[in-house]
Amino acid sequence: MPNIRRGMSGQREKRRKTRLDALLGQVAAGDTAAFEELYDETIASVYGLAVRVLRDPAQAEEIAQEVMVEVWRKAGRYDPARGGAMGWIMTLAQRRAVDRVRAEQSAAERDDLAARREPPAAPDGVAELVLDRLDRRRVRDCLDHLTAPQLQSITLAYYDGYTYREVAERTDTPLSTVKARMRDGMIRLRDCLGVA
Amino acid sequence: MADDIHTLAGPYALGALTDDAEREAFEDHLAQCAFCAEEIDGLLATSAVLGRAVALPPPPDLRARVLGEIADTPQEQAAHPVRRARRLPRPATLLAAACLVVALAAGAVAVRTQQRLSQETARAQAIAAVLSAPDARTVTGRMSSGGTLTVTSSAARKSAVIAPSGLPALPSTKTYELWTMSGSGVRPAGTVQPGSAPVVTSLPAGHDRIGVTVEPAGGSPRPTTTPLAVLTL
Repeated sequence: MPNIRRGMSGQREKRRKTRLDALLGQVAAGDTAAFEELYDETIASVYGLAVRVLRDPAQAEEIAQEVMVEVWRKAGRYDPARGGAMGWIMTLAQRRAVDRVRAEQSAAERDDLAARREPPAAPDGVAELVLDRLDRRRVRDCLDHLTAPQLQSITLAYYDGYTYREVAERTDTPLSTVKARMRDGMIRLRDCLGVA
Repeated sequence: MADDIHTLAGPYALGALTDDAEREAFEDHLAQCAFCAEEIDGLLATSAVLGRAVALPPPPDLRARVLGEIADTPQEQAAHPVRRARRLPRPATLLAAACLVVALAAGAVAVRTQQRLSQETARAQAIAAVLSAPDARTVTGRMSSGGTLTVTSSAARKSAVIAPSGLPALPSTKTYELWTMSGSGVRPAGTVQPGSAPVVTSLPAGHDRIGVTVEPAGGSPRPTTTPLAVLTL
């Protein structure tokens, strides 16, 4: 059962990935219609991630605008071997959101926010814009396959903006262990999601 | 040192490196390690799914503001020519193809039998067909054991020319073996020795990577060791 589900979803994913890559190529050539389409395909993820990292819709909106303008400016520098179009755009989004959170919030404030944050992965009830219910469940199922320390390291880094050194300090764990947890966890997640 | 920096793959994919300097050092490493670049490709696609999993409806007026801003924003030129955009055969490639044909033919005339000669000529023609294809693309990667692998591929010709250089010598019980790889399978693409001429291989649909491993002499039907390099075409 899970394999059938994954197979079907994988095919749809592949088509989406090909389409986004093609759109980004057109954007690099200055095609504004292609940019509008790319915007519609990616903005919910970019904005949602910014909200998650910053926990402030007004700031998240500013970041989302900066990210989309950066996509326009730098489309010519896009390297498809870095996670595809979506990988590149989400890298820009996560980096900008985290840079903002690091600049504006002290570590103590972030600790406080992190302590109050909701559980990782997609909460139910969020508008199903990009991932349908099946895909959200798949992400959640795959997150469940991680060990608790792997999940903690990944969410502290990606959603809360801590560096691996900060994660090591906060969790009182050797640096090498934290690095290994992040890499092993991401490999396990990649294999479970079947994205590569 | 290289092993040490490679453990940063997880933090890199999660945007959790210490600073820009550490990130740039890791990206320099990626440029030299095809295997690492391949891994990062998959891990970045994975972290993107973590981002998509928290998608929210954006404020409705954001779209108009972004479109208004890009209308006045010039685009940056590509820092380096985008490999994918290279559509026309470059003169250097054509020259290389021509040289290869001449060199192979000349070598063949000197020593080979007539039958061998026609085989060599056919191979040289196959190589030239790939190198001069309108969609020919070339990628180069360093092998972790030393030596480099240069692959020119053409989707139109469904073929690739694989040219190893500077391969370290192996004991006589071992050989280098080339592979074409897809998301679902691996296919042998021939064995090579230090100093071997380029190899032509067909590229079945979906095969978009070339790998090289060390195998027992004579080659293996499936890779049995860790790849020394994996190049994405």
